[in-house]
Amino acid sequence: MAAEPTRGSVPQPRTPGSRPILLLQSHKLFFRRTRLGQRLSCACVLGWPFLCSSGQRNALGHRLIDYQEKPPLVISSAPVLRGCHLAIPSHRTAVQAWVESLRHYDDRHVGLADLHPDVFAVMPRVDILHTVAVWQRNYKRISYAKVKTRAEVRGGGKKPWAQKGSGRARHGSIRSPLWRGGGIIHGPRGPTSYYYMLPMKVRVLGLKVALTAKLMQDNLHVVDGLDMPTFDPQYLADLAQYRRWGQSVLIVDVNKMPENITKAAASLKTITLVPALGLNVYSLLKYETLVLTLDTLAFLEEKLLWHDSRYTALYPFHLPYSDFP
Amino acid sequence: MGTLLQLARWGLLGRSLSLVQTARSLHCGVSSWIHVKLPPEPKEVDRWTEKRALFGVYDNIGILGDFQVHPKDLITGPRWLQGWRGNELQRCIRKKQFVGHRMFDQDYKNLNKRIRFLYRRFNRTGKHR
Repeated sequence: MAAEPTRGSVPQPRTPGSRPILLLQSHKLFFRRTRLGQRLSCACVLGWPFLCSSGQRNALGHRLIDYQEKPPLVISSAPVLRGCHLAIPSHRTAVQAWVESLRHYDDRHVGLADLHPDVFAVMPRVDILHTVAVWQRNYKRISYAKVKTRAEVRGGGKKPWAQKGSGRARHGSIRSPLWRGGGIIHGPRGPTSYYYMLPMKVRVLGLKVALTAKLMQDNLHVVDGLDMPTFDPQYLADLAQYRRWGQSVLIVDVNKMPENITKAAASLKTITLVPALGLNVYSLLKYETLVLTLDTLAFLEEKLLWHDSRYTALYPFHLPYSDFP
Repeated sequence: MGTLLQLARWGLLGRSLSLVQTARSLHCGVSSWIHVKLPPEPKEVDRWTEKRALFGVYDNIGILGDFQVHPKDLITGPRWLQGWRGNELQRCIRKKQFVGHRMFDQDYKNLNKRIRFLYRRFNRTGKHR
């Protein structure tokens, strides 16, 4: 790697999932993702829908943009290179991801980030993803279904007719389960809770597997910050569409989010901002793309790697320990 | 034949007026019509409401925070069931411990009856006692 790599010669990251993939989307964008520095010129004809003042359309009905109208991409000569702060085992190497930026719609190669392999390259345990997702669905479930038993249904204390002599079947109460309007024997009883907890390390491993899956399936994007040039929600939607991020995007940040992106995402249904504390397997499975900031990477690596080498809890962790804060 | 057709049309009209689901008729003979009911149309479910889009957020607040909050603190519901699970007898006893002092009279009596019945059922009958 050169000491001062320019934009044209930034080396490709070594992750297996970063090979250029031919993507054909249903809304007819015939645009191949190519190696860095070789963007096809047809992108300017078929790709970018915003800033169209003239309203001209091509044969497919897509808005045409005059290439000179788009704001130019400012390329700084110093790429953002994020190394892994925590020690990596000697037999493994870091996985890498491009660092992107939200300041310009095409700012996709601001730098490279090293990701810890024990968080972003673990074994793809689909069964653990299933376990954790099912746990998330059920542990907070409280079912309020309740039916009355024969003791609770109003009435039914008196024997309806004498035991013998009337010719009818013998009965002791009009609210027995045999009767219409009677009690239910084995029905749902009262608010029922389905609470249970998975072991902490299983939940941690679930997060790691989910992050690994997102990275390996090209659905993880690292962003240097959430600064946006405008608070227009259409800008964010068009950016996500141009960069092929998918139908739904989950944006995670540790710090306080700037106003522009908060306002933009507030009116969008499928693009959601979530603080780093709110990251969870169910949301990672629901949303197609995950966008993390560099600070979030450090936060997640620190929190998730601690469990690999901690002592077992002698008492709950919310009580004070002398070794760690 | 004409009367039958008119009857069929009236039947169709009547059905489509009352239900969204349409019914169609098969004419399979000279004078016999079979009214075929179609399955109901699937209802439109918005998968991106706020509740569905944010489901599961903060479930890992213990791991990612500093264990100051436990996910069971996020559960909303009856106070005697938050972060706890039990069978019916255990739930009844716990409900009596938490809110028995402020229950309505008839409900409290029913709760006691239920506890008594379940205790005897679990501990005196059957194979496992």
